[in-house]
Amino acid sequence: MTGSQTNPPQEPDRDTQGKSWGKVSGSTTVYLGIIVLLGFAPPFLSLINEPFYLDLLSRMLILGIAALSLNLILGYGGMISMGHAAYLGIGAYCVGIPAYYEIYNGFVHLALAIVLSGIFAFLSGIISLRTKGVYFIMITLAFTQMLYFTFVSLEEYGGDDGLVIELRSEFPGLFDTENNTNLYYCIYLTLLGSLLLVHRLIQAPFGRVIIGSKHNEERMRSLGYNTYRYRLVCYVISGILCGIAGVFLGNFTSFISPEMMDWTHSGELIFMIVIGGVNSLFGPLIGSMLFIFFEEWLSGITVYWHFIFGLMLIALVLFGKGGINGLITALFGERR
Amino acid sequence: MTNKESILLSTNGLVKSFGGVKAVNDISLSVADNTIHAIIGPNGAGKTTLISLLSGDLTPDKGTISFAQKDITKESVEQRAKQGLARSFQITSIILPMTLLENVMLSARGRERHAYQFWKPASQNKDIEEQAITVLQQVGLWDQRYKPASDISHGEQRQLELAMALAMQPRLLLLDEPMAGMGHAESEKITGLLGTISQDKAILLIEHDMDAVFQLADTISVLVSGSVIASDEPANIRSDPQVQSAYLGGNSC
Ligand SMILES: Nc1ncnc2c1ncn2[C@@H]1O[C@H](COP(=O)(O)OP(=O)(O)OP(=O)(O)O)[C@@H](O)[C@H]1O
Ligand SMILES: [Mg+2]
Repeated sequence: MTGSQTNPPQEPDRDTQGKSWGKVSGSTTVYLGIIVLLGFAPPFLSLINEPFYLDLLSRMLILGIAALSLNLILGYGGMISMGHAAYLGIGAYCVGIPAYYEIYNGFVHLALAIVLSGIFAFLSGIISLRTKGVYFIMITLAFTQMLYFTFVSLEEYGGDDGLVIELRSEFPGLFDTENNTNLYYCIYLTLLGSLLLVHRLIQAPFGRVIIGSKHNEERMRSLGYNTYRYRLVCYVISGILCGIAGVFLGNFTSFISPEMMDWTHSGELIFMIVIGGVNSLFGPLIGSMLFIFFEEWLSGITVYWHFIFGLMLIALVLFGKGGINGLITALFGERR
Repeated sequence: MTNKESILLSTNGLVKSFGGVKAVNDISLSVADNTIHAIIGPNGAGKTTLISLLSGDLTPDKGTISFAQKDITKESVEQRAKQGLARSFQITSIILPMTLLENVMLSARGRERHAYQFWKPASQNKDIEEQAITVLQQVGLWDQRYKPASDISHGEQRQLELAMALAMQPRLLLLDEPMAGMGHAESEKITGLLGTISQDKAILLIEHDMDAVFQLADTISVLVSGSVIASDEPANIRSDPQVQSAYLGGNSC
């Protein structure tokens, strides 16, 4: 309205629009390339007759979805949850317990997982999101431990030993998940959907509020945003997404046990995010792929692989700022 | 000039202590529509504490606050903001990794009922963007709008700080030393802007720049050690001997 338009400066380079998530940059091209390759993995692996690697990839993608869901609250929202494995467990038990009663319908499993993960996230979120920092980490851990011990005490479903799932989730008329390739594509499509969802979420007004609250909660509140409620909604979305990953994990392993909710698995999800790059859309997926690759590779070499792995992580945290995403961005362009 | 028909904000006996220190001690004041009420006082007088009580960032130990004929003493920061109360911070409080445009768009959107919109990119809301652009032009940051807030100078961050409060299109602006840290030219520009804005808004202005205060204010209250020692028209404040000795001290203006 005032006269500052008299001397309009040049339209700035689009790519310098802050760290505007989502412009197609060099690094995004690399990531999309990886995604496309993952789509061609099953025919390629059957061609070279290495079906074992399909198992490995399936696990990478399942945990990729889980890490992606955790990054939504951890990376974008600054809520460091140390209890996200709970949702993997909930999702898996939503396959296992119905299967125990011979209910194999996959839609039932998914619906149960979505509802129960959502409820668990909501109830634990109401309390844990009132705290910050270390307290938040401890409370999310505590909630997951509660769930862990609850399932340990459920003798009917195998208690500590868990339960074998006789048949995988059935999607009558759609596809047969007993076929590993079908299961893989099912996971793959869910991953694509999840990536799109998170991408849109963080660009949308909702995501801006979540990101803003991470960086300056006081200001966001004085702008009129009830940051607690936005966080709670984000926390529930994240939990549901991880619960869906849990459904696939149950199907994939055909076995469920409380061990799936062990706190070390929550920690591993955080590692994956750190390896791949906090705050990046594709980072958690890349992180989970590398994590599982190294786990597989190093554990084949030595029983002390945890030690080597730990050293690598320390090196990455100390020297590799921004994880693998930081590296790829530095090599292939912009965004940062 | 003074158009005091309608009182928009009033406080009654506000008290806030930190440990033994009474930072705000029994303050009752009011701000009318379309006026600027300036608060001046030495460092540590309790000015920022007063703003935080009004904005809801702090809760008073005693006293009440009413805004638009409604008691808001118990309401949260975000509830007050939604009703048209906006504050700016003395210590710049912006969202550093976001661009100036994104910062101001967040402010403009804060006034809407909610932002539970999950799919359409925030940057594609033309209406909000236009509002943000207008405010960025007003404070003189339009040509920097695609820069991250972390990449502009300290003075420009002060301008952004003010822009974020303005973009909320509030009924009452609580400004905590908006000009502190700005260059002389910007200060004058903002002084002019506040003058224009106050024609249809109420402003509670804390400012150390006495030129700006005496130019803008309809009422000036002098705060010393948590208490208002004088509250009057600028001309009377300037000549008040109590104020002179306590605060103005002859070295200002
Ligand atoms: N959060 C706090 N905890 C403890 N004491 C505080 C707190 N905030 C303010 N105070 C004290 O309250 C008094 C008033 O502080 P306040 O920041 O309101 O002053 P001010 O008038 O804004 O000063 P300045 O001109 O320096 O900004 C000071 O003595 C200060 O030390
Ligand atoms: Mg102050």
